[in-house]
Amino acid sequence: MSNPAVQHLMRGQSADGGWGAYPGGASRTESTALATLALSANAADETAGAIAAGRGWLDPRQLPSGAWPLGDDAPEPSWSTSLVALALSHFAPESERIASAARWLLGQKGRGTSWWGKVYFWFFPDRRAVELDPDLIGWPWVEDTFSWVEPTSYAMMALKRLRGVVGGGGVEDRLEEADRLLVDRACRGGGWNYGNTRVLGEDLWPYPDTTALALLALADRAELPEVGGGLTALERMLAENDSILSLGLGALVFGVHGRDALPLRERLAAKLETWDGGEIRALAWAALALAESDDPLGVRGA
Amino acid sequence: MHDRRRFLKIAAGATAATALGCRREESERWTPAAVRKAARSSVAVVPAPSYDEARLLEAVRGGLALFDDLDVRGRRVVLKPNLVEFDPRGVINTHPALIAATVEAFRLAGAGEVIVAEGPGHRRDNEYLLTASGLAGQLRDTGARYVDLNHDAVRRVELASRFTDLGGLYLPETVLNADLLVSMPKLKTHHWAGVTLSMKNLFGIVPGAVYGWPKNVLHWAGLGGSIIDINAVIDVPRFNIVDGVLGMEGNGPIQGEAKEVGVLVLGADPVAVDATGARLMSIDPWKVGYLAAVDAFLGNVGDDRIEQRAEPLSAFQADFAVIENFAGIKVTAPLTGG
Repeated sequence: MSNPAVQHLMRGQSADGGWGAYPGGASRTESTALATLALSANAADETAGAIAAGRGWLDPRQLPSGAWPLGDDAPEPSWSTSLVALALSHFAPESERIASAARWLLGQKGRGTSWWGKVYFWFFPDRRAVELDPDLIGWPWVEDTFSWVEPTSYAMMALKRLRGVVGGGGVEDRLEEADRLLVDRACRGGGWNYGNTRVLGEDLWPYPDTTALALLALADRAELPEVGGGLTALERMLAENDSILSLGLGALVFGVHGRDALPLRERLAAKLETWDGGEIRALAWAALALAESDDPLGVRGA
Repeated sequence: MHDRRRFLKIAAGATAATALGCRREESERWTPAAVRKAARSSVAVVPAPSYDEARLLEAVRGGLALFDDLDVRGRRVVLKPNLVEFDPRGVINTHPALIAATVEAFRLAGAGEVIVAEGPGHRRDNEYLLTASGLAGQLRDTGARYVDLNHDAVRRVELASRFTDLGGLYLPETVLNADLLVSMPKLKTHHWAGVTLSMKNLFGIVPGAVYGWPKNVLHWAGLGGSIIDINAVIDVPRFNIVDGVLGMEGNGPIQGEAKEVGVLVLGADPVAVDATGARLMSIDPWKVGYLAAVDAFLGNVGDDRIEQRAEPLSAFQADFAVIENFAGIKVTAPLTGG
């Protein structure tokens, strides 16, 4: 067990089997799903108990709808369901638990323009403050609100692996539209931010983490120019960004897209040597990036 | 204790609402618990020509000393700066040197604990944002605890006003349990809201883990209404310190241009502080929709009800550019107010 992120993750696990957003915090679905997934990608005798405990925290918290809540303090269905579904696609791809999660995800849609808005902007197209296609539907953070890059990317990663579980044309239509949404939301100079490209005529800049997540979601679409542009932008951003989250996601993306991830992995490993607390999800992405497989999420060719 | 404070607030609110002569249809938009408007408010405009930490400490301490009833001895003070994005030009966020000076000032005033807490609204990479902005270094030097409000434990609270249809919000325990919440915005124009100051800065307490990045639920619900509803529901004592050393004009809050002003604005009434901040930017607060709306119950906008302390506002008033959509909020006549 030489992956330093794995060791930090093991130490950061809470007594209830889950992981908080930060070590010692109340367990949350996002961090628990990612940590459990990351440990399973680095499976060893030492990690087996932690993985089982993580699954033990997640399983009973699935809601009757198939979704997972954010945590015990916010019990409504949440966007983090995508990450549990992604994790379960590795642990239990045939289970009813994952099928119901996938069905719930398919039922989640971002909100497009209202009929009133469509009429208004048909008459006054210059009054649009943002330059994107609001009628491309992906996944929102909160039910019945706008689609954004990060929740859309998570849902795409999960559903691309779960096509066989949910089946039918519905999933393919949603994924095809989500691909188009990410293409539409790419920043002009390449890469992605949370999901806006231009506001009031000004270009917005991309972020490493959201760029990496979009590139993982589009791992099977290497032919798209936005993917090449995103990889170039990511490389540029990582020259100036040394956070564990960015380095971890960046190294993971480079591995998945067949680029040389070694320099990023070395920087990441060096950073982890002095880790003294931070986000669990960043550690989890780092653990995935330092796993033996180039594609521990199984998103390439999904 | 809590029940007593709530009873007093309800009683005071009922009295204030009657005294203000609120129209029935207006008063139905807020409960008595939301009424905090006092007969008069005090706001201090304190010179702060640079981000030199020693001079900032002097300025903050001098400013706090102007508020006799601000007693933080043994209390838990939560500083909520504006940390939303990073730009090397350094005009987006509350300057880390001011945050550090404020930590020190409250400690010297006897605070039991001073926490810095923020829930950035665009970027999720907290390590990067804290490091790049310079706040990580200041936190290390001061030893102040930082709480990521995007991931704090949350509790659902029912809103005390109805300017949106949100009904209730999950809010972080660190904020709800504070003895004093200090909003520390940057003096900026805002391309959707007109201005972003103490009140708008509280968008950062809305947890991203629940509502996402950006906190778009609030935009769907209505930006101005959300600003009001969030401020009306915060049931803890408040104070506000605006970083007006270097402000932002034009296409704020992210892509505007730096504007030197050289002041801090301090006060307990966020409405009065924001009205003063608007006036400093040569913006008429009565033309900023959410500010005008809260004058009836939350705080004072009218300069005849704001006692100006320290320096006169007019000494620092600057002509802040605004985007075309907000051209109408600029002042059309010389301002009064100190």
